[in-house]
Amino acid sequence: MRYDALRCATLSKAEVQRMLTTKSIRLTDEELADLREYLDISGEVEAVALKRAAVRGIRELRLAEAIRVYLEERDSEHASHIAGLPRAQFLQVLTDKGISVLEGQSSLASEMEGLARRFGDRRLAQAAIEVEPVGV
Amino acid sequence: MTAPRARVLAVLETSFWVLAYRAEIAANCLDLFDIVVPNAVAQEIQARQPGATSREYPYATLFRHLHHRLRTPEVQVSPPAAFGPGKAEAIALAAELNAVLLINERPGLQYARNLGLDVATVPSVIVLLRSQGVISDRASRRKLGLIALNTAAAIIDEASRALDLLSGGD
Repeated sequence: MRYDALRCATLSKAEVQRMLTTKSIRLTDEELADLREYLDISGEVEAVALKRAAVRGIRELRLAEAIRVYLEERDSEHASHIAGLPRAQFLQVLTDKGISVLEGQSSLASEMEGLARRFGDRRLAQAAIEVEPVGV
Repeated sequence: MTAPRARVLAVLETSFWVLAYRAEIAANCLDLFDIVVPNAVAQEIQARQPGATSREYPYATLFRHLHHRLRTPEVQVSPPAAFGPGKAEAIALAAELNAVLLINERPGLQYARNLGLDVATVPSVIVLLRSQGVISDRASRRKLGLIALNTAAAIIDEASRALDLLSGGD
């Protein structure tokens, strides 16, 4: 990013323009009225507001798709790539949204048994024997 | 004055740290575990979003502050290809060191269990913290509540019953 900023500072306006791609969209009267109302309220320049909305919208679309894929596959690496986020940040977003990241059949009793053995914790070992998954 | 508690060797995986932060047990874990952090896991926890590099998530801030209490691996491992870099290195390292794998996602957890590794998720570590007397019954139930939305209901129920059993022995 720093490199880009330095590089842009040495480029002419025409060179910067050539690096950008123009995309056009068609809006209905209703959508256009919505945009104009927002521009009146915010005082933003139309092109700036449209670009910001597009960039933010793409991020939201990527995240929504990533969450859909995560719920289907339970693969945080793949899903975080779709979201365009580092894996830890993606996991944080999931937890913020109240999405479960520890699903499937419980292994709690065997985890407790292993921990009890490692720590020499008899009380935990006994609890591991007595606690049973619901429905078993 | 009580003798210092003997800590058990453990290897950290990214999913555990994020959820341990949410459950407010990340720092408590240092009382119980001598934690080795695979290089790829450290990178995943500290990675910043492209375009928002100045923003640091709170779990990453805590990791940065506790980093001096955590260990870096001294051995080279060959991570399994089935997983991303953090999870793969954590599993391989836990196997190499015969350490407990701290992980909170089912696919990697199941793979590690099939290898015969001891694994621990955030709910089981909350129960362990209670059993070891690091936290109170009330605190352990509150911490379980903090991750209730992010954990299968059956696991939360089972952990609650384990806490009931432990409190019966007080």
